[in-house]
Amino acid sequence: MSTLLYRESKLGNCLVDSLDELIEQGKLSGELAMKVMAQFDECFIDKLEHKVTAKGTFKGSLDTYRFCDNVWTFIMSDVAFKINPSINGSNTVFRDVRPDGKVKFVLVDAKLSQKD
Amino acid sequence: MQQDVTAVYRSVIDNVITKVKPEFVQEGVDEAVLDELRVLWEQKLLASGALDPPPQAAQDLRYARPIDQGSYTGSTATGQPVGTESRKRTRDYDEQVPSLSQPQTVTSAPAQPQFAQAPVQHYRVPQPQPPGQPALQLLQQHLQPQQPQPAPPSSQAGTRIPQQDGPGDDADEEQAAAKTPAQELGNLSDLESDSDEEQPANTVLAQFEKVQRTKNRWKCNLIHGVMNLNGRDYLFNKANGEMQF
Repeated sequence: MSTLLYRESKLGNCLVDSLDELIEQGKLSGELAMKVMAQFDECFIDKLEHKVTAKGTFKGSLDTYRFCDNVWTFIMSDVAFKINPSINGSNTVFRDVRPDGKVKFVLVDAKLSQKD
Repeated sequence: MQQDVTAVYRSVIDNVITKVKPEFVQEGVDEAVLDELRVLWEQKLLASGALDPPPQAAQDLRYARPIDQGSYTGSTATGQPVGTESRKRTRDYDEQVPSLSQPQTVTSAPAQPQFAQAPVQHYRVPQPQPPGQPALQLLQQHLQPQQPQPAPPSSQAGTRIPQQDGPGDDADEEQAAAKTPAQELGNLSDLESDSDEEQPANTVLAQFEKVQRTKNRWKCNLIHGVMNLNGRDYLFNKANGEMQF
């Protein structure tokens, strides 16, 4: 279930919009679109697990936190991210990202997704 | 880094499309629709700006470059390679369709002209965003025919520019018609900034392994994250965070 989270990503949203468009044009059934989304959930989590090697750290001030139904939601401000492309890469290639404004974290329980 | 994100997204798209192919065949949906889905998906992803590759990564993206340039320059010359590519694709479908069985050609026949149009529309999607001028031209086009025949176009203008369609319709339209183009441009940029505010700001979607708190200090270990920061997408396998409440 928790992999449904990634539907909210840009990649997931773009797929949902594309499917909606095709459904509106009558080229697809909603049922088939659901199957596509299920495939997307599977593929995206698989790639995140096996293809993405980047690691990162972040610091910032926590404005709001909430824990409900095993989902943490954080609203942070003044966040500084450091992203390293490779998990074994040298520490000198950190890339700094300082997003403007607040950052919303939506975090699901890793243990729940492993059970699936 | 950004190349990695692009590569991962590309492989997700490829993977999903190949894996759902049997489902499409089973449901009797033409494969052209699947290809159209792929094109739409890639277009929307590029239009979202989440990948917006740095110059050195541009040659990595065979389909990204012309569109990116098109969105910045707005010229048709740079857009042409894209058009020819999509035309090539439609030609491929032309070859495929006759080989299919009869009932499927019935479903695919209406799909074809629509497909030929669809990508062209989507290449134009990013264009109005940066300058805001095409939108202004649109607005003027719709305001000008309004003067000779005021009654029917008011609904037309309402459908094309829903933001103008408030309560006091008539008064708004008179004001808009009376405004100079510069004022209207200002008005439109206001609207654009409003829509920017509606968009969710920076988001991080991830799974947490551990979330700890001691007094006002929080620590969390995250895995498998998808982040959208300042409009760009980033992925991470693991991340540790420290926060102060």
